[in-house]
Amino acid sequence: MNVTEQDSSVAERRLLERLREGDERAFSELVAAHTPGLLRVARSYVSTQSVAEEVVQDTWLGVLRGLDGFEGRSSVRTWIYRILTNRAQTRGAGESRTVPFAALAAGELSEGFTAVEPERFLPADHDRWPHHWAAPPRRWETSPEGALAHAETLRLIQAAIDGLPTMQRMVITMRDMEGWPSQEVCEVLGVSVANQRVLLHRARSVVRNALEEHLT
Amino acid sequence: MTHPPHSRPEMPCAEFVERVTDYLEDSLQVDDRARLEEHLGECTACQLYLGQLRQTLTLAGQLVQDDVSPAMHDELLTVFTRWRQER
Repeated sequence: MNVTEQDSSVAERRLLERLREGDERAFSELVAAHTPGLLRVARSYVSTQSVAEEVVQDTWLGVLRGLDGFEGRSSVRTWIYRILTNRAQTRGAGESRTVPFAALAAGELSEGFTAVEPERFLPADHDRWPHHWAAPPRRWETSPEGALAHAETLRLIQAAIDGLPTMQRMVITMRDMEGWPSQEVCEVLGVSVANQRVLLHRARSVVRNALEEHLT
Repeated sequence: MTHPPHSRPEMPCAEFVERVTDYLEDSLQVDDRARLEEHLGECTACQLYLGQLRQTLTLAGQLVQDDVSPAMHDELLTVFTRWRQER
């Protein structure tokens, strides 16, 4: 944990203290800090925005009711997001999805995967460059950071993420969209570090491919 | 390609694209990391691939985060008020 994280965790614990005393402003601050992220992570699991909003609302009720039981063994954020994923799964059960995240991850990882289509590499028996690029990555014609192309590029990325299998979508949402460290993602989702990494690998590879498809 | 006996086996591009996340996550064994970096130093196509992957994740971090709608904020405050009364 670096200094900034330590500071922010001390600040969040103070916020929880005030919340225990019934301070509405403390609640507003916590809500403002976490609700957008909670909505996105919820949305990466449940099927509609309105279900995601219900799950997040439910999460905040869970946070308030669980305040006295929170012992500070994890960060405040990890604790809140674990409440979220529990609620989302309970809610998902209503949508006939009861599989724990770890099992869902194992299912996804049992599928074969290549980051790039195998046809884009030279065959194993190539006399000089086996398994090297036959069709190398194409340069992106529009710079994705260019102002005009930017919004469209982001829309593409969102669409590619929306199309991913559930666990890959959740992991890339938390890691790359929310900027979480891997350890915390593993804690919240209950998946191993190795599996989290493979899920991230698959997700990022798919999104890069989608961009290559559209930007060349 | 032949290698002197002390040299590590070369990393082909097809392996590079599968290990690049392990590289970015700093979870490669020392040997594999050296093989990967050696390959990267020589292969402009894989340099391009890595650059695009980095760009992809930077862009993912720029996806707009919606603010909480006023309606949702109000509902949450209702939840809070009810909770405070319950205590």
